[in-house]
Amino acid sequence: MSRSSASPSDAARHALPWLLPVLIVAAWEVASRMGWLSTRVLPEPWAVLTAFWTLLASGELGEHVAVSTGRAFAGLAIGGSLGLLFGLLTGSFRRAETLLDTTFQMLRNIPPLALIPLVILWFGIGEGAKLFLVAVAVFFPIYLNTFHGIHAVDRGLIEMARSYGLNGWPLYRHVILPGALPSILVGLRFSLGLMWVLLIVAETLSAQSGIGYMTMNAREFLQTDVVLVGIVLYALLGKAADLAARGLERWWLRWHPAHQH
Amino acid sequence: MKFPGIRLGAAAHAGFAPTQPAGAESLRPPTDARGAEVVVEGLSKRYGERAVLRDVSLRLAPGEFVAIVGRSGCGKSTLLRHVAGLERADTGLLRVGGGVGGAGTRIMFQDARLLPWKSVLDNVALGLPQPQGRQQARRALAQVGLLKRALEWPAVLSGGQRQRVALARALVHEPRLLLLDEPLGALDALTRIEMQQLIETLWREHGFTALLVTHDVSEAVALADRVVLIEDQRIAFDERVPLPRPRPRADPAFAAFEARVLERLLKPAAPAEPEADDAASPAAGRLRWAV
Repeated sequence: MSRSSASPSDAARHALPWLLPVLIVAAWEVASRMGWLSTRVLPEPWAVLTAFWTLLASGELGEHVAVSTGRAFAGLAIGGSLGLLFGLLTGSFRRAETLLDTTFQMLRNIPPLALIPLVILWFGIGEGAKLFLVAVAVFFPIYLNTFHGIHAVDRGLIEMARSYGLNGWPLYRHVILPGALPSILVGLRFSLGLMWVLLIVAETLSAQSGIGYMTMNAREFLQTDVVLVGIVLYALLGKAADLAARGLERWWLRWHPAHQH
Repeated sequence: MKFPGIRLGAAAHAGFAPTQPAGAESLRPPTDARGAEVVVEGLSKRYGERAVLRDVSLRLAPGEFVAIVGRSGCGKSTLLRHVAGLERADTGLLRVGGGVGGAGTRIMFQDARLLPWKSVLDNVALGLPQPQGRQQARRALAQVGLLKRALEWPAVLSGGQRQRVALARALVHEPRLLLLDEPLGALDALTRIEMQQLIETLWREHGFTALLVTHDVSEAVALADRVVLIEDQRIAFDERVPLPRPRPRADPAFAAFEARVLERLLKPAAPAEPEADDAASPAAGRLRWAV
């Protein structure tokens, strides 16, 4: 069922999405070389690449990436599992829905970034503040989509399963959870995007390590090339997280007609 | 699951002495009493102001195959859902008892209702204790001729194949009563006839009691021992199909009986009784045609 990737037209199809980024970088390089673009504004791609290499070779880059990724996923683990838990709870039990959903819907409309002053008062500027911000941001997409996913499970399938003697946990495991999974994964993808946004802001506010710290530090010394390295890193990490989420979808939803080629 | 209560149930019904219809008796050895007996008495159901069933009484002998026909919205599916225990009646009595088999009642829906995230095999094995459930599921799939597709997703099957999987899923439990809620309604004519033959074969093999809801009169005549017509929320017609099995459709007797049922089905009902919901519209008798 997997596609073979031997034919030349297939290779072209895989290369095509990268055509535009490559062209932009080429134009940028040319503009820098011709002196149309000041290094103060934007360093040439080659300089960014060299800076990247130097940072990588010194081990500094690896350390910052590791710290940032660790923070991001710790926040995701906390906020995501809480969102999943409460989403399952409110989606499955009418009582829990009446009790909790209104509150969550109100809280959902507060932008997490608006909480920054309060968060700094609560947690200072340490690790706690960063984890809290990321956790709050990823909570809601996962909560909402889990809740919605459970409500959207085909009633006919549940009726069938009940009439075939499934109840309680088996009904949940074989019917309700797999039925809600596509929606939960959509929530996860939203969360992954928000996760990086919040982490960037939190790390730029204050940090002693991480990609945000690296870029802010570089700004102090006018190292635009290092700032650019940081920005590119965020883009790559975001793309990697999205790819991972899509990989999960492809595996968990391999039964879905949309994933069968 | 084994039900020690099965024999108890049979004993409890012993005093009831069901009159075994002669037609059903001759079809298979009398030792075969695996089917359940179904008794519906005085069943009524309303949804708000609208009556769906009024004082319906129906009895199915063990192993009997009964088809319910009627127009859309006549309440035939509601009756079946009551027998399945999916709905509660306002008044009336329902008893499903007796018979020998694994599970009590299994239902086949109009849509196959396969779990799309489980393989064909795991769908059939749903609710069975593992791992021996898979072995049973394989046997059931072989019976409907789909063992080769056991490891595929339901999404890649055709409509007819999905219904065959649903049939295997129902039969793997060895039910004493099989309820069929227009299971072939969405299939093309050829597939439908194949499925009818399959259902008939498996019914004769397993000996369960079967209740089929359909709006295809020829399907009812082909399969059932008895055809019951529901009209105006009541049973309007209940007749034994006087044809030996197998029943070739080309047989003039087949066509004659089918025509008789169809004619009765198309005949405008007697003028509406002064029931609250009908009296509101004097043209109810004619309006029925617009449905």
